[in-house]
Amino acid sequence: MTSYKIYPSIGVARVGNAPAKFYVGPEVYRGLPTLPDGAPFTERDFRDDEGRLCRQAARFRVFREGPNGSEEVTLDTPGIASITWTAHIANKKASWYTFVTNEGENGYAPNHPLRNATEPDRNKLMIDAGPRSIAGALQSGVHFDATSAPPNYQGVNFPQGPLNPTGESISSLGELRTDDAGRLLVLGGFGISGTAAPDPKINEYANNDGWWDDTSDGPVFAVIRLTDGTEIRAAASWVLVGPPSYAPQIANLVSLWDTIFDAGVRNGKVPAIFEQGLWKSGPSGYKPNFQSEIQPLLERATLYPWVAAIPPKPHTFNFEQLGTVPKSPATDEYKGLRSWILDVLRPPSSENVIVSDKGRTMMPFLAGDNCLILDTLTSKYLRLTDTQFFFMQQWAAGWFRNEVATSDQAAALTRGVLENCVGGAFSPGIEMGWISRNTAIYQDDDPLRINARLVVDGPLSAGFDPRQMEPGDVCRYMAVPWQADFNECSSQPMDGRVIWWWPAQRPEFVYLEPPAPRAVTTAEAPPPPDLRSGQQVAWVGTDFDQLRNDFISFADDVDMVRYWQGLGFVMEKTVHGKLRFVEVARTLPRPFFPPAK
Amino acid sequence: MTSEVRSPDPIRNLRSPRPFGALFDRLSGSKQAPGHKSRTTEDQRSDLRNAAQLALQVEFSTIPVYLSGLYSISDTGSKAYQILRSVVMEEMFHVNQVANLVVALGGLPRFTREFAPTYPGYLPHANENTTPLLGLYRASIDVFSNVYAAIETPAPWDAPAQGDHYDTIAQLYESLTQAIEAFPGNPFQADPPEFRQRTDIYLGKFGGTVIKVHDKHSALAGIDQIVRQGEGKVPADKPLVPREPFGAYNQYGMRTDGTYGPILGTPEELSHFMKFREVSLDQANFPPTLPITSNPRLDDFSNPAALGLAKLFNQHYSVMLRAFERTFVRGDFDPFFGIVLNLMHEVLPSMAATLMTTPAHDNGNSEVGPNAAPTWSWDDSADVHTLARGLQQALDKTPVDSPRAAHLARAMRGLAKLVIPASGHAL
Repeated sequence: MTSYKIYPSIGVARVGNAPAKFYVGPEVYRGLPTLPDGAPFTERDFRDDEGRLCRQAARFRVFREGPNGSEEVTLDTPGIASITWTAHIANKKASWYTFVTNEGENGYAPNHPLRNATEPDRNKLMIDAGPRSIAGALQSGVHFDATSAPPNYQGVNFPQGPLNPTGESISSLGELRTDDAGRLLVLGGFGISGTAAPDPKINEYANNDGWWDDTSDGPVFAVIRLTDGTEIRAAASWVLVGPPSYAPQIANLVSLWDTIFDAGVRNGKVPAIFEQGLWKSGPSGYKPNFQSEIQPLLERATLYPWVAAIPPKPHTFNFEQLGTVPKSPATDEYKGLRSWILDVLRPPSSENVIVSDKGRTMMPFLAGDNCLILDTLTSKYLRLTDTQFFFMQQWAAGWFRNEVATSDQAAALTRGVLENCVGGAFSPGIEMGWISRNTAIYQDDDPLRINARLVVDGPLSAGFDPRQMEPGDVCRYMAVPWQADFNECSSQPMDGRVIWWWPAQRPEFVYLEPPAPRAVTTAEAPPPPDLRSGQQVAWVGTDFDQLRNDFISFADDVDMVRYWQGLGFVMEKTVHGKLRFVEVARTLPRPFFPPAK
Repeated sequence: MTSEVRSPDPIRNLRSPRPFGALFDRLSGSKQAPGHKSRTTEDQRSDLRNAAQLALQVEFSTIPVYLSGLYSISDTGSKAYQILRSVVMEEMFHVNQVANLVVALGGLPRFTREFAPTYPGYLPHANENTTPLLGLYRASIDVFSNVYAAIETPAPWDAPAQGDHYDTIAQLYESLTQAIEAFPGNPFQADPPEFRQRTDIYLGKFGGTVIKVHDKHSALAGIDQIVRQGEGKVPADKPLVPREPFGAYNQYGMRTDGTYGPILGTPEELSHFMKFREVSLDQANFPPTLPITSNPRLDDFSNPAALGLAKLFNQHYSVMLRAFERTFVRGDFDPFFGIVLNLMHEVLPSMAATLMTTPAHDNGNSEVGPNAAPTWSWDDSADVHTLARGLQQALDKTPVDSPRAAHLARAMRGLAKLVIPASGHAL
């Protein structure tokens, strides 16, 4: 039987304030974005000609799955008459419960407060323009705004009037386009956040009543009409619209793919790894592939020092030694080295341990889901997912493979997109929060595909049904406005240490590209140390005093609402003949102190 | 090279051992060189090799001293523990770097038999009046101040090079440096046929980068790192790690803003001396320690369980030393990751914890003490193939509810991870 499915099963668009120019989000692990016209992506392409930050489009494709694997279907494929895409994105942040770390993941308590609790009409707290459809090649201009809403659609709602502090209005959540082969491009909002309050204040990292932002999420459907007139509904995907990705080539130790995959594994969807409650460990169990399941994890640790103050030496690994598959246990000369690495990884059930009883600092040195509520400190520190840890355990014991990984191209698309997103810590997160771990929201036969409900006439539901996920049902677990969490979740003082949040998504410290070397004359003052030595500098804010309220962040979250689009990107470049990750395309001056308001 | 080495005097007179005799009278660069002009280049190279081996023994001698104190601290998160641990790790770097020096001079770095240190005693060839008596002590403020900091005492800025009867370790290194500089030509060979340098075994977050020695420049750069990190002879405004344009070393420590956190770029790392002094001046926060016997001898243990465990510890320690020595022998068998690493990181610490919670005397109380402690003595009869059996026997004899049972079980688990060659490689 032939079935049609949309891939990636979860796609990611990102906000930007450039009105027209955009790029397509990376579809491979640690990839750069791509340009719609296929030209090579350069550091100039993060912004438009006026220095405005480009939006990232999520691209969706249809794959036909047959006995020989999957193949992409486009308007150019023989036998295909048309592909009609329908997407519906919404923002339900203001209508949902307040975000409190960990609370609600297993159901909300009766005393859990709502955001904007005094508003009786919860639909007035949603941003929704209804569904939109598009078909054909190179189409554009299908906007998610109030004026173009379907005439019968109930529940169209947008924030009233200009919002403070920027004076801009949220009048659209994004746009649908198609490329030259009829693939769908979903563009998100412009990064406008604000409140009607005349004196805008952000009091909290996650919940701010009266505030809006123009991120969103929702399902993506497609109907394929064959030349013989047959119409086929493809399996639906989901689009997430999140904050910009400022360091696209640097991945999180726990990516969103790892988290969703782990949820599926623990739900019994990957019996080769975990079946009937038992992990397939030992010599006859699951043998992780070093190239695709071990080395990337080690690599991510190697890359963190480019975006956080983390010593490179202990994060540098000899992959030749570590990838050597032992011929027999008696000749496994690197077993001790692998065990040594496993021993420094924070194991499950040790989420609050920073120094082991052997005195080693446990890794990762990153904040966990819940390090904010002092009297219920659980999961203070991040750890690998169960599945990642299981892979590391099998590897350390010597039960692993080392071979070129092969993967279905459609499945690889989902993995490639989600590996560039944050899979923890969820406090609340960047693209998707702990709802990503709730296996009830995924389809029974596809643990990476969300149960999508097409809402034809509206209005949207204010409730939660994991079998019928609606537009806005994913982003509502995130901070409102996103800039508040994004600004504050840089460093976290904890137990006398300063722990990092999501350096790969929200850089803490960056390296600058040094100016071209020139002849030094004695009369000339030496260049500042950061340019001379390539020393790390704060990506935002200051770095000389950890107690200052603008330590690697803005002192006031409202300034992130104003200036997020001026921050720099971290990109791999050749500097003095070597590959480095340096900051590019920053439009804010450095140092930058926001002017008094 | 072994011709000049004498076994330590069986009667302990607690003088600094002088295994290399009059070596420093002959070393090139020495002011007392006249009369030795007839020595060949190969003789001079042999002298250099012996001087490097001496430096190796000096570095290695400090490690059991520090580890005895480290294992006696029960709070692994305490500042005293963490600082002492960081110094021990960096001493391992020093050992590795000096071992490379020995290899580059055509020798095998020696750790076994008569090259293993004995306690209590002095650093070899040291001035007993200015260097501390090295003992195996329970950690305390006074031990940090009077032993650990004393070992790492900086040399005065203009202190002369000293060979025999050196006042500080830095001055010994100065004489080694001068001898290297005075050598006619390049005495170093990066890849001698029999032995190999190692740059892949110094793991973890601690300071220093192991350098492969191939000429005078790389040899001196290695020594420079050791001296700066250890005793801190260089002026404080010079960085420990050379400034590197990217990916520079981030040290976590006390920042100039008064908080603990990352020190961006390539910071000045505190010398070992300053680290120890910092702990010893912070009396109020010194962590609790286990009531162990200081300077233990096997004869002290009237509790047969303690005696058995102490001997077992020495067997594991001796196998570790033998395997570590073997790590520098060229060939297809490298016991470092398969044997040495797990013994160092898992088995020996767990066995030390077992000993330190075992009363030294029959019917003693481990909360009160005195408890046993490792004697760090060489056991020539130790054999890698019999370690597990001995440990299992000890485990069988240990009451399951005793504090030491869990430590011993952990040592057993660590031992199970060892990759032990079937035969042909005696360890």
